[in-house]
Amino acid sequence: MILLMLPALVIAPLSCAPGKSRNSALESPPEQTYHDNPGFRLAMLFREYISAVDGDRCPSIPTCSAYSAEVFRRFGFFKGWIMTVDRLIHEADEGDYSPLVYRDGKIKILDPPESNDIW
Amino acid sequence: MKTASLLISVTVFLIFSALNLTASAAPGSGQLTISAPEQYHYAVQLMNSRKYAQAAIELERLLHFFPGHNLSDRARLLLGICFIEENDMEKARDVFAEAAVETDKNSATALAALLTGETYFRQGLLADAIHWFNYSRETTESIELQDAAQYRLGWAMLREGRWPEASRAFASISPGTLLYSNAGELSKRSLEGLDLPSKDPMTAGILAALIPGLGHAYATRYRDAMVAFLLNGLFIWAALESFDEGHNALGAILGILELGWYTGNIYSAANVASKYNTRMQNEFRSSFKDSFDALKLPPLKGGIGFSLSFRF
Repeated sequence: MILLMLPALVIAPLSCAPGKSRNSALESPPEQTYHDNPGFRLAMLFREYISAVDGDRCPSIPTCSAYSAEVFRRFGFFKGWIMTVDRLIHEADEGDYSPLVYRDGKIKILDPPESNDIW
Repeated sequence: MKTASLLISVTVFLIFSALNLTASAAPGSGQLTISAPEQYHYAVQLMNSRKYAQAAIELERLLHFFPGHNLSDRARLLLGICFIEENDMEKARDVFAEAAVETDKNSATALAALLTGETYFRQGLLADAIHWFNYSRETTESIELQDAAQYRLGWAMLREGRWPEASRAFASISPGTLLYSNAGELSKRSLEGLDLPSKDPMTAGILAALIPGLGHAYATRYRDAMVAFLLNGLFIWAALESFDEGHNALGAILGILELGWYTGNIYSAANVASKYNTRMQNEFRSSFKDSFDALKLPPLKGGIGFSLSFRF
């Protein structure tokens, strides 16, 4: 049964692994001062150790892990968590709603935190 | 006598030749004299060719070498427009602020305020844009500028989805002016915004709280609905199974994680409902024609023998 849980835990974050390129301003790593935020640390751990191996499969800009780190940094743990979940859930249909941009040789969905801030 | 007249002729010829040589030597000697109107004209030509970065350099050159010239007001306003076109709104605002301070013409001050509003409008900062459009409208004596500011106010309200207010703003444009025909059309069509299909974010949130994914389905995002339903369903099921089998710690962890998915699902439903409304409004507005043209407004329009022909 626990094995059945793993896909749910893993599928959504993995579907948003960041690309190899770290040049984009949108994907710039957040400031060091936010490293104490547990959500931010989790997002950065995922970014550094899982997605670095998994590769660029995220359809969005910024990638979900970069997005997550950013919302934890800007909104704190509770709101950051909710906005991260929102990003993971709403990604499938987002291409019909947000602008598409050409980045790193691929067409990506531009979906920054500002587009999802309804607090 | 013949020798004397020959000498005079040769002397006159030599003098004129020397004068001609001096005159034609100027370009070759690396010196060039350019007047302020020539410099301005060149900058305008570059703007007509949509080379805004180059035009900005030429306009800055004009302002540097001819600081007190009567083309300075226009040059500053055009420089700001170049920065707008280059998407450098901060610089544009700085230039318009300087233009408002340096000029003694009411029309230049009002147009600088109007274009400052335009920078905010283009950035989507509509409250600031409305402030500057109002300021421009209230401070100018020019009917054309008042109408242009009113027209821009209408557009800002359209962007905010304030359909009746937008309609009223467009309806108050003076008859017979350049914007009147287009404003009349916009005034009528703005009210159609009231009938646009929309989704209530509150309803979406409540539906998502009842059944995860239902809020997304309400906002016509069916794949998102499926993701939300499956994620929440799996976590709830797994947590319950864990408790049933006596794995209470695991059940508690899964329950806490599920709480995150569940709360995020509600927030996400409200968010996608808002996005649905935004998309409907954007599609509706995209069919509207925007006739705002700062270059047809005083003090930029006409009067110097050459004019800009590009659409701002």
